[in-house]
Amino acid sequence: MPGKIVESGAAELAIGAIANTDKVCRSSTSLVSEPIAYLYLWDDSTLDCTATGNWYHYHFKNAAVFKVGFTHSEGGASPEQITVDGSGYYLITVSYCCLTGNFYIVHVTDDGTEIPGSQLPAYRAGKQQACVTFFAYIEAGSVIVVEFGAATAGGDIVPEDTGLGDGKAVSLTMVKIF
Amino acid sequence: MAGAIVESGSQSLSIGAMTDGGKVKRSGSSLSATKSHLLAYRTDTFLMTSASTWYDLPFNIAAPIKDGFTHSDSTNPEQFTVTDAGKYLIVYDVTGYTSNNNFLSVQAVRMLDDGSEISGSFAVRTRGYHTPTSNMFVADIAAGSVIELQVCSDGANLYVEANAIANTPAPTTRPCAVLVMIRID
Repeated sequence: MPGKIVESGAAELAIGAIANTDKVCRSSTSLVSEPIAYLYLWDDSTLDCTATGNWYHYHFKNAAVFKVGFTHSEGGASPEQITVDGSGYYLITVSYCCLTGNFYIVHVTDDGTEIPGSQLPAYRAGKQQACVTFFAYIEAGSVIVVEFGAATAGGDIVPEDTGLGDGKAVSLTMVKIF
Repeated sequence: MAGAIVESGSQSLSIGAMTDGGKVKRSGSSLSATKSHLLAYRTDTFLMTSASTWYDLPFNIAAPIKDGFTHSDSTNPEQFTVTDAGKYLIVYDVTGYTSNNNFLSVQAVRMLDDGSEISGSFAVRTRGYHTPTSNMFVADIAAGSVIELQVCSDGANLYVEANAIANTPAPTTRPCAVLVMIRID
């Protein structure tokens, strides 16, 4: 029976169009194509949190190292925006470095609304990286933005400057799980 | 040909239990698809009254993402029961605020599977203000296992908490502990 997967008994699962490299999932009575999606983006731009109590977008001005299933324009008018092409559950990690001697906070927004679990406060007493990992369901077309705030005006998100690493200030990793 | 996927040749695979949205994989002569993932967090301060004592950390918020797990935010909220056996990617962040000015106190976190520590789940750090203890690892968990996150400190009356930081913008949600579990195999 070409094009069909038949369970023992009468139920049938039809095979839909399955693109190369896509994952295969069940959807009701069909097997469906589930596009993979992953993103790795980093930048060494300094972000100046000029005033206290405010959120500031981080602009990713470098081209994504990996970008499958996302839209991002590093040279466009809104380099802070990462648009998700397909709905699904995403594992997300934000890593950042900042000036010492200040309190910072980061969160990630989905169409302007904070994603639960994405906020992370940190006090930087020395050269340290802060990192938050969380999990979220994101609709197709949603715009993801990473935002920072600082407790002292002029607090900066800055590239790591020990000379030991790649000098990144912020990185964003997103992987579609389901 | 009922119950079989026939490759060119003679090998066949039958369909096992499948969950909508689950990734399809081969297991012996069957295909199966399951989907298990969880995001849980805690927002209330948690007091560790004694030094060097492990405490189960209750998660007081109903998990906004929960598929393939059983968890109650009111009855035994420290327990997560796993529905399906498999390999799980596990990530946690636990924030310790030094509100009693014990700036150099040590915070440790680990995870239990049916009461036994999961290898690789232990993490420790000297706490600065609001600094989290974080870890990511993979564990092989059996169906029906009860998972618990535990915390301890080297000083008495220290907290797991995420207080507001003066002059920083307020987030919508301020968790002091976040737990992510995703079945990967």
